[in-house]
Amino acid sequence: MDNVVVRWLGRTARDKPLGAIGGIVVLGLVLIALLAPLIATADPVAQDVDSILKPPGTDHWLGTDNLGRDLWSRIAHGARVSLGVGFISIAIGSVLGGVAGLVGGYYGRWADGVLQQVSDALMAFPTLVLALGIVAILGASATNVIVAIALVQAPRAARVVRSQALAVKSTEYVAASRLVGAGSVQIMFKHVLPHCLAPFIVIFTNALGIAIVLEASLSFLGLGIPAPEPSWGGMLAGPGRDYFNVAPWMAIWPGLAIALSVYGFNLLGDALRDVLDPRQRPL
Amino acid sequence: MDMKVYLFRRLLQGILTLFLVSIVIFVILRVAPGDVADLIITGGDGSSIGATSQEREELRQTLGLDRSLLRQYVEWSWDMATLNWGESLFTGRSVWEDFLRKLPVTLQLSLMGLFIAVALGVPLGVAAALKQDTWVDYLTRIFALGGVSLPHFWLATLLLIAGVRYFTWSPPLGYESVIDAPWRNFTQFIWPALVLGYSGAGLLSRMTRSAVLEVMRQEYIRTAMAKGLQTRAIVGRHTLRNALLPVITVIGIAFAALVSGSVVLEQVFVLPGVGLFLLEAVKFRDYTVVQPIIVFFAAWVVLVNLTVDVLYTWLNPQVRHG
Repeated sequence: MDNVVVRWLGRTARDKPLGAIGGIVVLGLVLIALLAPLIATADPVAQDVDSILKPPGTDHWLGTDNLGRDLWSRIAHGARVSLGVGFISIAIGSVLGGVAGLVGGYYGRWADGVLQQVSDALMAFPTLVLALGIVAILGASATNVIVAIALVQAPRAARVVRSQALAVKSTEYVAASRLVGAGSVQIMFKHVLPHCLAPFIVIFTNALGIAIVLEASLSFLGLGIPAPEPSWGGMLAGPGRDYFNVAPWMAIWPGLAIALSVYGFNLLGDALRDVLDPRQRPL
Repeated sequence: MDMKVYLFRRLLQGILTLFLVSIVIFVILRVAPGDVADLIITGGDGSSIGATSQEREELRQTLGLDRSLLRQYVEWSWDMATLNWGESLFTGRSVWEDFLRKLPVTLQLSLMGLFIAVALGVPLGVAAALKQDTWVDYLTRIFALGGVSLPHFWLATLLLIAGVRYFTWSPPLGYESVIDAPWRNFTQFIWPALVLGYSGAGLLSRMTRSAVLEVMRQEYIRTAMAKGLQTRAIVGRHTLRNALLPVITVIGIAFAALVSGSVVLEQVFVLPGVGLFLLEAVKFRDYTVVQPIIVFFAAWVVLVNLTVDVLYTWLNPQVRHG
């Protein structure tokens, strides 16, 4: 059994080398986030006047910032924030949007019309502008960033699931199961839902990348995770920017962390689409 | 379907979307804990410093918050649509006049970014699709994924650091319009435009690639191959002509994405555009500014999408000849 899984993973990784790289990056990131308290070498918010602006070295692997905070510890703890906020917001947005899309696509008629129009309206907002609007009203906090990103994600998830539900609805096996007396709810969960899973996983993975950038952008603009909580976007902003010219490592690591994780999620998402979405398979 | 009927329906749909957009904004502004009057008085942190309940009521009245929701919405949306945007709560200046002054900055940045994105992204996407699963494809995809993954503000920050450290260069501060000082204006805009263009190119080349791949899987391409047409004829006459049509739609999507990017880049490069205007307003919770600017950005995207769809219909022979 294990052997089969391992062999399948190996084969897939060989077919999709970029996807395998993405998978490894994502796995590493998740591990860093989970183990942050263990692998961090210092308190991520503890300031130390004796070690201000230290370049990367043996004491501080990635150096320190203008307040003497250990950058490696901040990056590791920042992974918790980035991945945590990203995952929670995308999960909420995808589930809400997914259910709406499922119902809209399956029942059609007015439910579908309303859903389509609302998701069109939500998608008309440039993502950052919508998020900014929500933060403007609710204030800058982790919870509100999650609300904002979930609202950005919901219409996108709804759209993907809807089109899938629409396609499955008119297949013969759905007609057949209706003929033998299956109810709408049963058909939705047994036949339609499983078919939505593949595209759902693909956009979920890609959306995680987008969520990380969005959270980082908000934090960078000073409207996301409040300081001194370590967040990758926040590390690139604030008074610390004045020191970037003398201590470029302060700017390099957090950006690299964002870029690498988004890169990882995108690579993984692309590979998943190729593997899971038959329409995209080469001839 | 008749093209005119389609275009008319598409226009109606665009107006409907705008209407729903306005409702979304209105609702978001009203679901805030307390109401806008509270937020203005307390600055949003819940500490009503020295404001009496009478002052609060007066403010509510001047803002019209004591009236029915429907009436509030009608009046509010009428004000938005007729450009009666009021004055900033902080500077007291006319929001519309400030907006008009800042609009050229954002337009210029977005258009320069879009130009770079299209010039770079579309050819790369085509090349990657035609050479699928070769090193051309891999390199292009890695480059494109970089554009999608590397956050604007980080690329811009690195650019500034590198400029100062290695070239003792920093972008000229103090915005100059393209008419007053064309060269200076160009040196101010080219860097943020390049950052914006690179990320747009990433998006565009990815989507172009899949559009071309999609067409290459069609049966008429297989037919063309089967009847022995030369590759060049297949690519030029059958693949690209069909694939580039959906790419027009993608350019519309990319343009919407560029708007988000320009907000961030205006902040980093201190360009006094609409994005920076919005950011400052959000920071100071300047509602009279935040509302119309968000409406503007959404309306802009709706308008671009509408234009793109009209263009698509006009260019698509299947639709044109009914």
